[in-house]
Amino acid sequence: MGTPSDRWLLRPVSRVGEYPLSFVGDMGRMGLFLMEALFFTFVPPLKFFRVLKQIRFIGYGSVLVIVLTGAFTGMVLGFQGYSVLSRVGSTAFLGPMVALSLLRELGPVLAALMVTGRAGSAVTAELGIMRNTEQIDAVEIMGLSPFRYFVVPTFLAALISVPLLTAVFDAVGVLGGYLVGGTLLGVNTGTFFGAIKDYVDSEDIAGGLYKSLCFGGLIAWVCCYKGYTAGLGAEGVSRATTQAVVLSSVLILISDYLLTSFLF
Amino acid sequence: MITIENLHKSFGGVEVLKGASLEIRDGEIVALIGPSGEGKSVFLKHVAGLLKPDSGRIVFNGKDLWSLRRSELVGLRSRFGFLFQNGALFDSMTVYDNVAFPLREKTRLREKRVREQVMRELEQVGLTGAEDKYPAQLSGGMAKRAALARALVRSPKIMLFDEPTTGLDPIIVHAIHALIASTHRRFGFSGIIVSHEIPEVFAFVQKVAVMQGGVIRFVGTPAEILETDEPAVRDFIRGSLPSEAYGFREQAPAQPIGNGTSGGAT
Repeated sequence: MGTPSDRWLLRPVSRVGEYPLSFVGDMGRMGLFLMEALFFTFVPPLKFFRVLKQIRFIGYGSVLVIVLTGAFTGMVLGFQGYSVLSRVGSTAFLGPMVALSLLRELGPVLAALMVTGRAGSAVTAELGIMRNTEQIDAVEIMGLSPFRYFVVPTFLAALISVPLLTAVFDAVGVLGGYLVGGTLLGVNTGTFFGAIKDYVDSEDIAGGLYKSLCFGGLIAWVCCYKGYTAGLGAEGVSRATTQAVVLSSVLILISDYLLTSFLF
Repeated sequence: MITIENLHKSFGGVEVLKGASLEIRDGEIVALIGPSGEGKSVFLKHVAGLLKPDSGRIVFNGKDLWSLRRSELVGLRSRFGFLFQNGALFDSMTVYDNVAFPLREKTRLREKRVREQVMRELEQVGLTGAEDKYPAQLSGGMAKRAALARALVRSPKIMLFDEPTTGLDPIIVHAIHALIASTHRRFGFSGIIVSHEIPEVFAFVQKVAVMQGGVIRFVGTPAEILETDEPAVRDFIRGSLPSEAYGFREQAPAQPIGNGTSGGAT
């Protein structure tokens, strides 16, 4: 079409249309992928042992990293909170400050980001390699649904594991905050935990867990989709994995804002 | 009877299939040959319903593959066996579990019966004793044979082979061809075999189809293709035949440049 100089001139214009079209196409494909995953979630048989295997991988396998990040986040909150609250003479509120920050915000978001990095990327890479080595096609040719074997178990495992990991993150974080506030900086133990009991509602806990449930679904959706549709070769799988981690992380932060505005 | 009519398929603006058509009668194996990168594997994946054509039809006993309902498609696929180019064994499962997978998932056989069938199939392909190995521990030939056992374990009515012997040594090639021929006699399946093993593959197929430039250029019996006058097909076949068929002389070893002219490197 046209001379090379015409094409050079038209390229920026065509790019303007190309990106939105590709974005809308991707959204549509992701939507259809989610619909199919939901269909096979509710249509038996459920591959129960595969769900357990994925819970072991996503949930149990992430406990150490969640404990470490939870502990250090709580400890940092203890230091920073004490420093700020001591300026206004309210160090007695250190406990609720640490607990509410973790339960409402940091716990769900950081736990989800850690799961994305540790397990989400692995799920994408595994599915991408299965796509490349035709293992997904092999299941399809047997008259079986690859969704039932590879996608649904990951979805269910993420929905179960991420809220539980968030609860672990919150609990360890509060203990980390106490370790710094109570042990190092001298806040009274009774005051620290008593104030938490007074100021933290069940709604704060439930809100955080609803968030983590949504994040779990989001991670499984994005990471499975990117792996399932990975391009060819090592480059295709590596690109899919990067995209899965970046897109999941960005969507977690965006949906966190939206969920916060609805839930609290 | 499988009828493939006028298949067209493009990937990213590049047209790979440009109106490919083929007919396979019941119990007939067709060898699909042709230069690499001309769309043979893509064609095979269309027949299996793994890819949807841009236009054209794939008809199984009068039913268009892409107008079937989901349940009908699942039923049709249950009659398929597909030997993938790289085996496509599930790498998280042992050879035994790979071969047992279709039986466990698609039948209600008891585990004892599954075991009998799997062991019989592994014996047929010469893999007795390898059932506890993982695909990563197998050689290329063993992986192909394990994949063949998995494809055949449910006695398929339609078998599709995507380059079953590529990259294997001549003895394994011969063994796999003999296996395909004997299982064909045993099950009487219809099928397509994509292969570069010319003329070995002609020994057990009923028809040969040559794909060039995204279309089927020639369909005939093995005897007919060896005598065809169509230049492109004739050149491809001649280029594929082993050298002794043309009386190639034994070549003398090449002499290193400058050999014997100097005392060595200076």
